Amino acid sequence: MLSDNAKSDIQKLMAQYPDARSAVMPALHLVQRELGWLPDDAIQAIAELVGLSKTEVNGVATFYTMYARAPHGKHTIMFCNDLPCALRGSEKMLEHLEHKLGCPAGHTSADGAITLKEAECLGGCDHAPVMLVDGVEHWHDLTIEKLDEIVERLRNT
Amino acid sequence: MPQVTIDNKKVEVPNGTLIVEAAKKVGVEIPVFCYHPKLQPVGMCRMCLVEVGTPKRGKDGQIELDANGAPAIAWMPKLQTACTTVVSDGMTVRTDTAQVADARRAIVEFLLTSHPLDCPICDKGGECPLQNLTMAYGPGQSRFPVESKFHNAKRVPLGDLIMLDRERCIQCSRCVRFQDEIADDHVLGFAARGRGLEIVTLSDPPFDSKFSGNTIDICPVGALTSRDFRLSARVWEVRDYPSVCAHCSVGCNILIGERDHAIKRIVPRENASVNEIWTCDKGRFVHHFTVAPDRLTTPLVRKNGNLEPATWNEALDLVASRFKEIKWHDPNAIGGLAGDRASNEDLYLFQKLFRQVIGSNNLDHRVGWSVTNTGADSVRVYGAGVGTNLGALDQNVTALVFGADPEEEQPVIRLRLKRSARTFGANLIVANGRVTKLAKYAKQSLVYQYGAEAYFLLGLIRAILDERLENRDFIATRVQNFDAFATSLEPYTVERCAEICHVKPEKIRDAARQIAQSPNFLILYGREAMFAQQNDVAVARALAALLLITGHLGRANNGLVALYPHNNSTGAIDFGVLPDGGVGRTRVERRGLSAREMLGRSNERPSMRALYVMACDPAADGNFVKPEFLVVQDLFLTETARLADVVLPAQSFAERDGTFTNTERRAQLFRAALKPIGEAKPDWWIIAEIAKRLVSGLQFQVSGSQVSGNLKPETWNYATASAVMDEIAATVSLYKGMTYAALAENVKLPRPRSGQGNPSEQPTEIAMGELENISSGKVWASVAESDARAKFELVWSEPSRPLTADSRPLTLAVARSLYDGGTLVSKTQIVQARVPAPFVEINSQDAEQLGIADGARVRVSFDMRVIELDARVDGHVPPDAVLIPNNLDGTAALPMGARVKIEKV
Ligand code: SF4
Ligand code: SF4
Ligand code: FES
Ligand code: FES
Repeated sequence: MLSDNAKSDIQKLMAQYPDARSAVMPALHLVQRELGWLPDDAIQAIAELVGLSKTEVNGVATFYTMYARAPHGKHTIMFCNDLPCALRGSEKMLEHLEHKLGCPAGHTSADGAITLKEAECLGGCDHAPVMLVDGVEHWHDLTIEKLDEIVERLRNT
Repeated sequence: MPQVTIDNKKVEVPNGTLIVEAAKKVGVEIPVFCYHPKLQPVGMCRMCLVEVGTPKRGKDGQIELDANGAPAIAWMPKLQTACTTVVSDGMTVRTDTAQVADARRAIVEFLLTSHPLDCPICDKGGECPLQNLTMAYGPGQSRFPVESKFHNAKRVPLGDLIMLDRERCIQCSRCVRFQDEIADDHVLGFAARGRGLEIVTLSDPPFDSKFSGNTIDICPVGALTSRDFRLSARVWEVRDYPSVCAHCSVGCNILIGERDHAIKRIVPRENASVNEIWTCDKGRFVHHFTVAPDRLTTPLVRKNGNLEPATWNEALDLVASRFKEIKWHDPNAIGGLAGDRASNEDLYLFQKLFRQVIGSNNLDHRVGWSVTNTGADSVRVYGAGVGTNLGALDQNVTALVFGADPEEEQPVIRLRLKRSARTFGANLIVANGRVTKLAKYAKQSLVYQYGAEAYFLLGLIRAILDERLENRDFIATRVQNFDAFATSLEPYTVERCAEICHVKPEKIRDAARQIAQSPNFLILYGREAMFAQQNDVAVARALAALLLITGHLGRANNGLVALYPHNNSTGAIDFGVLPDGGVGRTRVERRGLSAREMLGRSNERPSMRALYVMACDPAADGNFVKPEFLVVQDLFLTETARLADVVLPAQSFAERDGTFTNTERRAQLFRAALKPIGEAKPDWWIIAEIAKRLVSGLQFQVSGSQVSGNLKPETWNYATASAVMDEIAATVSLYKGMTYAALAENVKLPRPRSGQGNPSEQPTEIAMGELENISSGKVWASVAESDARAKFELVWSEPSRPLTADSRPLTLAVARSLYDGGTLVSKTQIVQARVPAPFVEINSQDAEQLGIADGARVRVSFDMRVIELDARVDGHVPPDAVLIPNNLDGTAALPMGARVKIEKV
């Protein structure tokens, strides 16, 4: 299931913690980067490596929204749905995004390019509305125009 | 010890006590959901919020006083969880304020926003903490519109045994923590979070644990229910009878929940010295045999070749007259086989009938498993001291678990040893011919070569003597024959023993040091060591020697525990259902024939003319030749019964009173819960009736000569099982004083429930574990503890070398599977998926050499027998050995230690 590289990387991660099983979170990230998402077999393989049960690893992988337990698009948009962003018009923008991508939040656009997810406060309320792309790009002070621009770019990369 | 004030009541409690526990001491109930006394606190539900204050201190660190001169209290600004806050000296707690009442009301209201409140169709209704706490602390009405309730899946099977109702789950994590902390099978977990949070299991098979049923008890709502009991009765209609599990030798205390003359469910009954508040799933679910439609309901007598219903008188008269006739020719032509599942009363009378009325010592209980009885005498002399609690051994105790697999054979003992090791720091040394589940709790896990058990033990002894770690005072005053023993040991250097048993010498030395230097030392030895065929005597003597040279005997937490397979194996030995052992573990002068000898043949004729077979099924093991007259007494028409001349229907443990003695020598009382099925009778009654009939005739025969006491029919008049125990309590010194009254002391009575018993008493949650000290039943004292001046003899026994591997015959190791292929298990449908198909486990190295793949069909041949099984290739068995559970379909009576050949089919 896991590539030899991934396995040895996970083993290296395990060595960095006093308790090897603490490496479960970076291991999940690592595998997700490699496979795009976390299928059952990957959960099992990670469990065996770090010495947890499959049920426990699944618990971690489903608790944090940044892990994907189902296949998803090439890119992920996490769109903040909390109050401060809502006060600055995020609901409209989410609707716009859904139309643009042709799928409701929680789903992936038909071309497989973008998965749209809702998220709780992303910690940028002072520059609401906020969204997070691929877990690293933090976009704030969003406008409809800005959204369109970003989506175009994501579709083409 | 810190002193705390809770609702104006002062109490002193040990350091580290939680507020919730301190409150119980002064009779203040703090409501909880997620907290459970047996689990680590997590503070997840917030139901236990209370006001907490500590003495106010000035800048100088001095406690400030209020206007009345009492210490001023600095109240914490917010409510605190009583289940996670540890008391400190001077702490003040208030649980009776408006603020606390408000908080409780809010939590209950909040929990109920997503709770279906389908109590009328919920199994938990009537014993549900959520129901009870809602009544006690909740708001009368919800502000939450019913239509906006959160709905979720209501029937989610978590494996074959447990059903989850996701709507009812209040996400307290008790079930998850039970599996993680107590069972240590990490197969339940939360998935997702917030409203989406759910309990899931991803193991294969789902909820793969032998203890899953306990989560039903500790779930504070009806989210986890038993797929067996589910929707079959309201709990207040179920009547609870205190009983004892009739499966393995742990003897878990249980309550039989009866309704309509059938067992609706079995739940654990608290006993801190035996099972705490747990049972395994076999004990909980495997009870359907009691009311199986194919139970025998009348006596059967063979007429014209067929077994036909008969009256009790007809059947008993026939048995008595045939026994009488055969006895007249030769009493030794009659043999008795009584299974070690029968109660003490039955076994005692069975042997009394044979020894005192028939006059034959041909008695045995060891049917279906190849065993020797060598360790029995050691248990009588060196048995672990009364007061030993396998679940509470601490860092002052080293325990050697030798040749045992408690996970499959005594499941709750696996839980208890785990608790000792993990919670109290007991030092476990686990040694076996393979790696068992217990090994992970061991400070040292040692794998020896099967057949070399004795060498491993001699290595330990030698290492102790080499380093002069023996207990010289004890040896000088209490032990005889030390010098001769030491001389015999000369050639057995640690290195030599290590080489033969394949355990590294440093490891042997290290274990030996721990054993000798530990203040307390306990040996638990199991079937795999006990029945190490070639070396059983050497093993038993070496175990005794290990205790003797270290002086570890005669006190609690020291001595020997034999881990037996069945619920009353100990009783069968105690009451002398053995060819060479008499009542009270005495020796009989004239040894009778063993089961194997009785079942054997000479010149194509069975060696017995008559056999009385009670509660066992020798024909199921194959090669059974029917004797001239065969009587079978059982619950079912077993394979042996099909061949019998007379079949006598016995009552199950649920229909009658009796006692079993568990593997720690604890005699425990169980009570009748069901009406007898048909005309079935208790075994003790049947035996006594046969005896009476025999005796009245015999009196006539021996008229003129002296009639001994036991040949008078009056001496066989027992009105109840308790009367039999009275006789035992009066005449058998090991069981002195163990009348039913004495054994019933501290038995926790059925839980009062609404509609039952005293209506003012609140229904109580199942298995709360509040009665830490409750302990019932009585353990008989070993010689070492009852006689402080007893002298013990070290006896040398030369071990024979294990056979060396030649041209690939492998050593057969015989294991057992908890869910077996036997009659009792077969009647419980929902556990059938857990009964493994017969298999042989083989090491991957050997498998590769023999070209056997995992799952392949293989033929195993040994001792003129050939069986076909599936191969499991894995790393638990060492090279040169194969492991077969001997209680699955077609694998009975396997000889431990035999040399086997294995090949692909
Ligand atoms: S299933 Fe029961 S025990 Fe488990 S978390 Fe839910 S309410 Fe608690
Ligand atoms: S551990 Fe043994 S005695 Fe206890 S419930 Fe299970 S089978 Fe019964
Ligand atoms: S509410 Fe959107 S970032 Fe905080
Ligand atoms: S009982 Fe204290 S938080 Fe649940």
